[in-house]
Amino acid sequence: MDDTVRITRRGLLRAGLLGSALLWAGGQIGCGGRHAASRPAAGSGERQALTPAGEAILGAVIPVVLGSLLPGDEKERRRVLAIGLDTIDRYLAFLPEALQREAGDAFATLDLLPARVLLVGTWRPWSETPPATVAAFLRSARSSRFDLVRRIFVFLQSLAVLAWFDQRAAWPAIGYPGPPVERTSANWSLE
Amino acid sequence: MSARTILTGNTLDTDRVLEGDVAIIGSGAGGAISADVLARAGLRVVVVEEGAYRTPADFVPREIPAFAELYVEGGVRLTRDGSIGVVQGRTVGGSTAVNWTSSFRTPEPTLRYWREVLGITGLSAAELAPWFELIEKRLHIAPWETPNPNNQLLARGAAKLGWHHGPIRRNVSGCANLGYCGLGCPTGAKQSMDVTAIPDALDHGAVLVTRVRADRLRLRADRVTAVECLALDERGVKPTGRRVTLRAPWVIAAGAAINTPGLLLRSDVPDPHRLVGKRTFLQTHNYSLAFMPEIVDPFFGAQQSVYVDEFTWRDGVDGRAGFNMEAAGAQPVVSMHAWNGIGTELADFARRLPHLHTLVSQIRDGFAPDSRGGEVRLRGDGSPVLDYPITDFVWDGVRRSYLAMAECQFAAGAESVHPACSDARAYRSWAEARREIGTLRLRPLNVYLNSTHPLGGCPMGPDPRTAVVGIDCRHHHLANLAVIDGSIVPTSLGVNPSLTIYALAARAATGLAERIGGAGAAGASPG
Ligand SMILES: Cc1cc2nc3c(=O)[nH]c(=O)nc-3n(C[C@H](O)[C@H](O)[C@H](O)COP(=O)(O)OP(=O)(O)OC[C@H]3O[C@@H](n4cnc5c(N)ncnc54)[C@H](O)[C@@H]3O)c2cc1C
Repeated sequence: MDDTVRITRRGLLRAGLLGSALLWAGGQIGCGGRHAASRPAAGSGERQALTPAGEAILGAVIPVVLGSLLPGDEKERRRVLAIGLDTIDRYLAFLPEALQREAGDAFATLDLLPARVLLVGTWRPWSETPPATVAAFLRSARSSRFDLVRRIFVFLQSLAVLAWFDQRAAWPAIGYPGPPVERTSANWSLE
Repeated sequence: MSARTILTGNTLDTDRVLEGDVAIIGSGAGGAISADVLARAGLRVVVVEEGAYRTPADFVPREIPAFAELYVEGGVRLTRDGSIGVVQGRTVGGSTAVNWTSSFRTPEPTLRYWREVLGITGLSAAELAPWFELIEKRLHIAPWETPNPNNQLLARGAAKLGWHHGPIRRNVSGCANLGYCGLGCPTGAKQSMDVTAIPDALDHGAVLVTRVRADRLRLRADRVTAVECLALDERGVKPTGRRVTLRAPWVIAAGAAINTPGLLLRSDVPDPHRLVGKRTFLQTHNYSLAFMPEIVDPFFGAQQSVYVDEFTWRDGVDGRAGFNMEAAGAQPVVSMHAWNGIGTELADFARRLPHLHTLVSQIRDGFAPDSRGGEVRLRGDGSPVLDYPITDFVWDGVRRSYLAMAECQFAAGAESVHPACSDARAYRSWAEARREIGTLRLRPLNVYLNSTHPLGGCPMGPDPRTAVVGIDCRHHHLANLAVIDGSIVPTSLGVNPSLTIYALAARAATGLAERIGGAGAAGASPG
């Protein structure tokens, strides 16, 4: 009883602060910060829409959402995660520019220290956040009483689903034999 | 048959002005049927389409490429608060190129409501019958007699419970029963607009311009003087800077619900009663997931071939929310998308995919006095977004349809049933499901909701105070504009909408052809 009350209060406080933090961050990004924050990853020459912040956040979130569905072998795991991020990048690149910006802004905001501290409960950058912490964040976000926080959860979770289940490597474990017709595509690797 | 004229917006290197008798915006159900009817009547037709032109051989049977390339906003056009994903096509053929082929005539109670409450005359079942027959023949619409396991289970559950159900008719010819309709039919069996009405219109001299977005209607007095379009890049995302201007004495807006109201709002089309964009209906879809002891393989076979309409009209046409029920099995991304699992829960769920049985209910809106649908607004960049508040009316429909779907799935032999709601869990028996769903917390984002049936926003009707276009689909305030697409439908339907839109389009375009007086204008009339 005591615990629930405390958690709820803390949740409330967090979300209240979070709301302000997001507003603040959104404003920052909106007025000029956006260009730096929302531009596709510079290093990975081929990125068309996925930002470095997005890449870092999804890099932490996807393995946690997919859990044991991902291959155990480290090299194979890295390969399929890279395909997943490529898929998300291409997918985002087909969205209207306003939505690409919205996704970039959402990632930029989630990557800011206040959001990490308030939502995820850690000072560490996403790439160094332990999976257990990310899992706890995702669970609490899913059942949050705040629509905005649940919206963040749905956004991240559905990108993880999108990154994985259309990959050949995903299919044996889930009993999907793959499509009955094979085609090639200029825009997609279709791995 | 003359050579087909198709221009690709992304490769244009100069601005273009195109002239014709009729300019049509959008190549989906309404636009393509209109183009075909008018071109056959001897009129010079120009069709502009935001999407690209794909042939059956181009369709890649993979989910992400298909959603990205063939759908509006990646297949998930979120309502303003993010709680409902509206699913629409954006390719030559529009949503018909990616739809699931379920074909229903407009139900009697819907037509009666239109007549008795909205004053819409001339659209009785008998008056529409010839138009339905015309389309049914044209698109090979016939009952599908070999349901896949997903649909057999729906029929089994409904039969056990004594619920009214029947086989769905589909617009296919030589269908190989692959079950990839949503990704663009790879064999060309689906009689969607991209392989039927559009090629026929092209063969009758229509001009098609792809990867071009109609941005604004230019107006003078009570007329549209031009349609200003932006050429888009190869992905259909960024304007290339090239402009295409359409000049024609008649203009047909056929960009579908949400987009057509968006175009009219952007263009400041006269709207003295502030109707444009309002009364947009979604027939909101919600989902129930079950695991069956037998193999279902939901990713194979025609997705929808059995319907249940036991609850569609039970509480009266304008009583509490009615809903129909259909199967909704699909490939892995769509199958997994309905449920927000994390880690082990997601993995356990996914590993049982071959046993997954998915049902969908579509919650009829727009009839009850407190069911007013949503409203299309414009974002800062002029693009439309739908604000659709989920009212208690809708939530009540969600709860009762969760109950009905769970009851049906248990009757069909389910081992467990899980409403597609992250505040729910798997139930082991109908008794448990009934108890738990009765008090289940229903809130935005945690209940998985979407809609492949957005309708309305430019409703037809005789009275300019309540309708944007007349029953002949001509705009009430602009003399040479017609709207012929799902946005004219004044309520949701209680069934999947394509056949209604095809028939209304054939009727309206034939009327227009007669009015304009093209050579052989009556040629498209039925019978
Ligand atoms: C996945 C899916 C499954 C479905 N399943 C079924 C089913 O089984 N049975 C059924 O009856 N119905 C089904 N539907 C719905 C049905 O296909 C639609 O209701 C119908 O096609 C709508 O017709 P429309 O003319 O209003 O628009 P659409 O067919 O959607 O066509 C509109 C076209 O206009 C283009 N456009 C829009 N704005 C512009 C602009 N400004 N400039 C240029 N072009 C523009 C769009 O790109 C699009 O191609 C489904 C839909 C989807 C998406």
